[in-house]
Amino acid sequence: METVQIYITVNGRQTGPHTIPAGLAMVDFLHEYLGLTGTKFGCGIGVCHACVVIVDEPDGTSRTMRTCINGAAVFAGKRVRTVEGHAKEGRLSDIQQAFVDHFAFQCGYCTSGFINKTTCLLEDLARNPVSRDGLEERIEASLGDHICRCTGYVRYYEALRDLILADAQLTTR
Amino acid sequence: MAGDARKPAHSMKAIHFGSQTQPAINWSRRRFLIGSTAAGITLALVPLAARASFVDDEIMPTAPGWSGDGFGHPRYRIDGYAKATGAKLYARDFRAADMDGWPDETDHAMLLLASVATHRFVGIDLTMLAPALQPDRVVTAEDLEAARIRPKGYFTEDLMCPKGQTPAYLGQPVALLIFRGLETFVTARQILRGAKGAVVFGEQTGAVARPPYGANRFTRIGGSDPSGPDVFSPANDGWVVPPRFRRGHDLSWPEADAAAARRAENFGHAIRAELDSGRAGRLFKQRFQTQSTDHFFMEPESGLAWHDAANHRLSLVLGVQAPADTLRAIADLLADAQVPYAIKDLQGHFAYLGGAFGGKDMTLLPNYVALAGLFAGGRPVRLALDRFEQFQLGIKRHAVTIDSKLGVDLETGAFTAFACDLSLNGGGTANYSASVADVAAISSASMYYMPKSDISTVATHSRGVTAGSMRGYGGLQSITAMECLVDDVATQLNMDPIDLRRKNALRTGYRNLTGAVPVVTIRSEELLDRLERAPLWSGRDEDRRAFEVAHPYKAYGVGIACAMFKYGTGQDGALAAVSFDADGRIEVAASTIEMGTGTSTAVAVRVADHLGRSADRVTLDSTGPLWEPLGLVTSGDPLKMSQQDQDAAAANPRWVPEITSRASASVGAPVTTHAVAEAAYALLRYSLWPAARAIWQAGDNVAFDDLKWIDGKLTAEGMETLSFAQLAERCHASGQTTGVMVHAFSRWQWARAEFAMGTGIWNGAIDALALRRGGDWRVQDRRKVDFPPASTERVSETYAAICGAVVALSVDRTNGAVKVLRVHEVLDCGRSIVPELVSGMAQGGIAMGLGHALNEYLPLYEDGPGNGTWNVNRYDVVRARDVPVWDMTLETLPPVKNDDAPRGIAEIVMVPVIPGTLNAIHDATGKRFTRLPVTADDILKMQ
Amino acid sequence: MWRWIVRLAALVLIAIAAYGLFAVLWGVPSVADHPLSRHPATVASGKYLAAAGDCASCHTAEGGEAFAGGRPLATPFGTIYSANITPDPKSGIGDLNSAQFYQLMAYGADSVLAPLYPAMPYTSFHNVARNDSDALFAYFMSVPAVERPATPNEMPFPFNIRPLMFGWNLLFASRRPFQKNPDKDEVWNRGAYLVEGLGHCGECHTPRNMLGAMEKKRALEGAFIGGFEAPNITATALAERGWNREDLVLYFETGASPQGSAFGDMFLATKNSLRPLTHDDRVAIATYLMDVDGNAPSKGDAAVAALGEKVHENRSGQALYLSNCSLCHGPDGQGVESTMPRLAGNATLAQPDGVNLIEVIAHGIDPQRMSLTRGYGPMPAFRNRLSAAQMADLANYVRSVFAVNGNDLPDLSEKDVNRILR
Repeated sequence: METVQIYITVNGRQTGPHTIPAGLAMVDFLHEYLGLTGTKFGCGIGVCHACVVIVDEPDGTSRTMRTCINGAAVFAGKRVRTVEGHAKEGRLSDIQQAFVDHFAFQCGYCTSGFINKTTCLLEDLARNPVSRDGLEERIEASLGDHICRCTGYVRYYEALRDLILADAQLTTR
Repeated sequence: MAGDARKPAHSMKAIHFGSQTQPAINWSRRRFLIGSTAAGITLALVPLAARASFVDDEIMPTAPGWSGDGFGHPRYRIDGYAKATGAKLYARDFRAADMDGWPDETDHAMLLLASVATHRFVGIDLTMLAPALQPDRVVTAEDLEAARIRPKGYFTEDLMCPKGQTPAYLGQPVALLIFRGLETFVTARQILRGAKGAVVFGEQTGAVARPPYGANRFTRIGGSDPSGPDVFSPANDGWVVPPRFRRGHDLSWPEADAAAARRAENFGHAIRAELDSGRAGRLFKQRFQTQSTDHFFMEPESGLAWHDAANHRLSLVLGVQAPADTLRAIADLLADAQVPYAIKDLQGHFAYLGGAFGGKDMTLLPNYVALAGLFAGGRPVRLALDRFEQFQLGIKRHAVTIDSKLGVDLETGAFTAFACDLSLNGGGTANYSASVADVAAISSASMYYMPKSDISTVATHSRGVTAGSMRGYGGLQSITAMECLVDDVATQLNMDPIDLRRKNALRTGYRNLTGAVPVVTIRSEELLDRLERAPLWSGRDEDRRAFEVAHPYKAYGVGIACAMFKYGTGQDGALAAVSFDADGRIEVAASTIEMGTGTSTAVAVRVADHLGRSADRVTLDSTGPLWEPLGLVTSGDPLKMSQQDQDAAAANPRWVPEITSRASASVGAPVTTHAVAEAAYALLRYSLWPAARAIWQAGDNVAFDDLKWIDGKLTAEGMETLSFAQLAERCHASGQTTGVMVHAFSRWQWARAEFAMGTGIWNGAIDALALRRGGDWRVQDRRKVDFPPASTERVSETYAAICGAVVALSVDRTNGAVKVLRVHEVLDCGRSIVPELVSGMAQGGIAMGLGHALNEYLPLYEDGPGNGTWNVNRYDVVRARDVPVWDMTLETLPPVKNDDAPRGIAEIVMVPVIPGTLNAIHDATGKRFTRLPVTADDILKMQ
Repeated sequence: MWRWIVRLAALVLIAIAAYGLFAVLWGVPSVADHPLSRHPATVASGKYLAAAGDCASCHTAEGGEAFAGGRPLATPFGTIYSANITPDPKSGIGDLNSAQFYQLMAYGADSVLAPLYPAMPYTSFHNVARNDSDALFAYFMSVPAVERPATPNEMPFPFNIRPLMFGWNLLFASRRPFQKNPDKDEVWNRGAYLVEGLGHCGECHTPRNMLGAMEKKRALEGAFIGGFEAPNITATALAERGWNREDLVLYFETGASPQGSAFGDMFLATKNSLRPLTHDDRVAIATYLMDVDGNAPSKGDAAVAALGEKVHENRSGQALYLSNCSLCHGPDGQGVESTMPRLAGNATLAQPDGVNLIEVIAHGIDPQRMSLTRGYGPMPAFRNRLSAAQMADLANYVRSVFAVNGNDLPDLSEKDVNRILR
């Protein structure tokens, strides 16, 4: 069996070396090797986006990547943030609190994907804010591929819009 | 989901069911292979907030301040923090190392499923796996036979297809492979997926045929007065089976006495003749066909198992809606298993569900998790379906063909007679097909009164994937057909669709198709008034003009539809325990599981009805030792037992008709929180109230009814306000009752019993009671109990919720594309315990409804999900862009004073959107579609 | 000096006048008019032919009304906007008769002043029989009229002078109606009629000369268009890449086959124009392309090398494949039917110059919904995750292990990858 050795930084912690099968999916690595089961397997073919984690690029930008169709080896040497890493010192992140306050989720299985994607969106808006009337479109462009079967998406979208509108820097007239 | 599945009579005590809801999270045993700082990593990775609120063996990881200041409105779901921080909650999250007392390493199992059901199964061929990747154990039908593990009780189909036979259905497992190491498992699994030839088939034999799963006929001739006595009805004269199905098989046929059957046939025949001859007014005929769909809950099914052979114990971690029934079914399976597979103790840990919608009620997977445990050589093993396997093995919704005939008096628009024949494709195993067929038939008149009706229904077997319980449970299909037919009648009679519905609406006290009178108020008129006043409906002509000017090549359409649908199963059992400690922390336990509907939050909030504030800690546990103080026993089938058997059994104070029912049939609010409310009332009435009187030394000039909770403090008629802590401390100090545990049973009405409570007799809507004084619980004997009459089995569906929807959409004339612009729903949910949960349920129901109307479709047989190649690339689940995510509104009727009990609404909120959408398409294009889903191609073809 | 300029101007005038005379005499051959038929059978046959000719793909703007035109067609000579062919009298073809319609189809011009640009493939539609043209006309006159004024073309001088097209037509636009090949059978000839005529396959698959005309001598030998390579679909090239008649028919019907799935413009062609054809027409096209005789039953089964577990000498390519691609396409390239295309035996991998393979690895493919029950999910893009060298290693690995002609395919270098992606 073809194996590779990887180092990886998860939620600010350097880990490794791990000797893993070359074809091991990142979601299985997070679950089986690191015990981080907050990242959820939904479809396994890169469509439902429940399994996205955040990858922080060296140039300071961040993006989400699916962990079901990308091998753990692809994340070797990268800085990754998962849903378990957002709350700090007993306080949820703004978007986590917004989703909780708005009763945004129900079963909660797709929530980690929504939280990681919206975290990236908020960080991006902080760098280049969106016009107010383009906000709803921007939310759809960002979350449009994430599937949720319980909620009909309404409270997820409202929570995110209210959070963005509450912070003047994230939008322009 | 009414479940009248046959259940063998035996007492819970036969095999000890030990189960906790949330598996004991053993933090110290967390297995993180991250160097020395594993423990450090663990803490850091699990944010302190969640960590602080997780106490060892905490059952419900609540968040600090979740319920605001306790007496106000809950600020968020009790499981909000845990879910937002990715805590371990779902069956898919757990491995052996997380479980207290289990060995560390987890093995991995997978199923090989038959993608063909018309050829003989010859055997499996794993030569495509290199020697190092071969499984450590292969379990086949022959191994099960040798171990005398045979399907019994609920599951009657072979668990595995024996060699030399044709699979009973598409997707039937043929082998269970168990791999020792994760690495070999992951690599082998990737090679096996999509590889042809692992499962070898021989010559064509044609599909296996089996008799139908169930059939019924509901014939009713009403009297002159809709709520007066009937001439003939199932409620009075018994359920009967259509003649062509009366062959001798022991499936779920109700025993029909011959005389009733003959009379039903004559009346039924007469009704149909009247309709065909036109004596019942203008005849409207319709053939409606709905499609097979998948629940697509986000968490594919999975489970953990560990066979501790030394102690003859099999421990499971599962995520199912029916903990008690699942354990009982597995126990039946292993009842006469040979050593070393015989067990005495079956322990189930039941985790949160990542969505279910009825698809995790009585599914096949838990049986295979148990098998994996038994054949894994004493090592813990995990069996987790991937999405392809979930489509292949998981339950589907019944595809239904509905042939309706409706007689309408042309002058008045009144419905005179209704005949309907339903045929449901039940797929390869029984599941709840028989009961879904019944519910589809009984709901087929939606919200309308029928003076005469003759409904026949049958659930047939087929080689397709098993069809079973899914949100809407047959009623969704038959109500959709009816609401489209009513829309047609309104168009052809050129009557306003709301007036026609108002003319025929079933009102409080009217009899339904079985001749039973719903026991709840049916506020159909108020519902229709509000639909009529909704701007989306009342302003539809101006909206259409404005829209079509702005979009010349798009047509604008508005449709409305209503629905009346039952909740509860006619055999609903609920356990609840409410207690407080000395410093006033309230704990509540309830026998249900959390699948996302928010029942856990509703249970915690319902306590405030009587104790002035929400509970601080919630335990969800269906079958565990927690309920042992009540010492309950049950026997017989609550839907079929005779009155004599019931009276005889009721003599034993520990006997109840049903211990706990599944998290299904929208019972969360109406059933689960009912038991909680009764227990909380007893605590107030027989603990806090005497304590308060003692503190106030008020004697008799303060009555119990004067008590009021204000901002979490108890007061009465100008008395000094008492904090909960004061009362709690007093009760503990004076040895008062500090905990009440109850069991409640409903067969379309609550059982009631009397208990001596020291300071008085309590006649509660319960049938078993235990009290906690000092440290321990003691069961109380009931002085008198009256269970709902056994004959009410013939009466059915008498808890009913109603809901209406207005759907506005546009249709692009040149390519048929439909865009749903706005949806407004009006709902009677009784008193809503947590409004945000009701609104979230409606929003999810609208989205799932739109998906069913416009997108979702599964072919039934060879090129459907049974061939193992289906996934969400071509099964079109609704995205945010497919729903009016900014324009979905819900209007709930204010509760009525004397009948404000919470209704079960999780299913009804999904139903009216589907016919509403079809009626809107008809309004926009003038075309009537009677097959689902309605796609752009369908609309273009009809252009 | 002055006299010289006058003499030059006179010469130019004479040339223009001569060209004008030539255009009037030759430009638009006269054709008999046939009455417009409203017979439902004719309209239905016209609807079928419109699908075969894939008219909707060009004559419908993004999100616009069907056949109302306005879709930009980028050509090396400027951007042309497709015409409105709905029966609207002002902006559509409402005021045309069947003769003018046929003249536009076959000769690309119904008036001397405004001949069409060859973006409208009259260079192929001259093969369309007159009764088929009349049926098409009947269908277009029956679709809902949409008033949508033509979007002006953006053609730089001198290409904006439309009458110049007559010169181009003289050189490159054949007017010969379709002739059957007598020593070929009916099925083969029906395939020829469709491929050379309404199917206009050559417009993408035949290389073009400097002036944008199809090089007849190298018909269907492959050409670069729209960011991909329309591969060589001559019979020998198809067979070399593992194709056979039955799999071509399956490919035309579902957009998928053992040799892989349709993507890019070919996905649109299969969805809008090949899938709606009758089964017989699809068999005819496949018969003509594979140049087999009509009733040849053979289905060559591409022998795929037994793919064991042996470590391949291209280790880096194998490791890249296992960690990036095997999660969907499977360690043995077996994919999952109808969900993840099978790479073992895939024809795109077998294309010698590897253009499409590199483009797909770099840019990925959007989800493709073929019908209610058929559709591929997204293929991710790897251009900002894999370096050119890594893409070369990966491409060489999959070509050598999975392509039927894997052993004799040249290795792609980092330079090749950069060239393709430039």
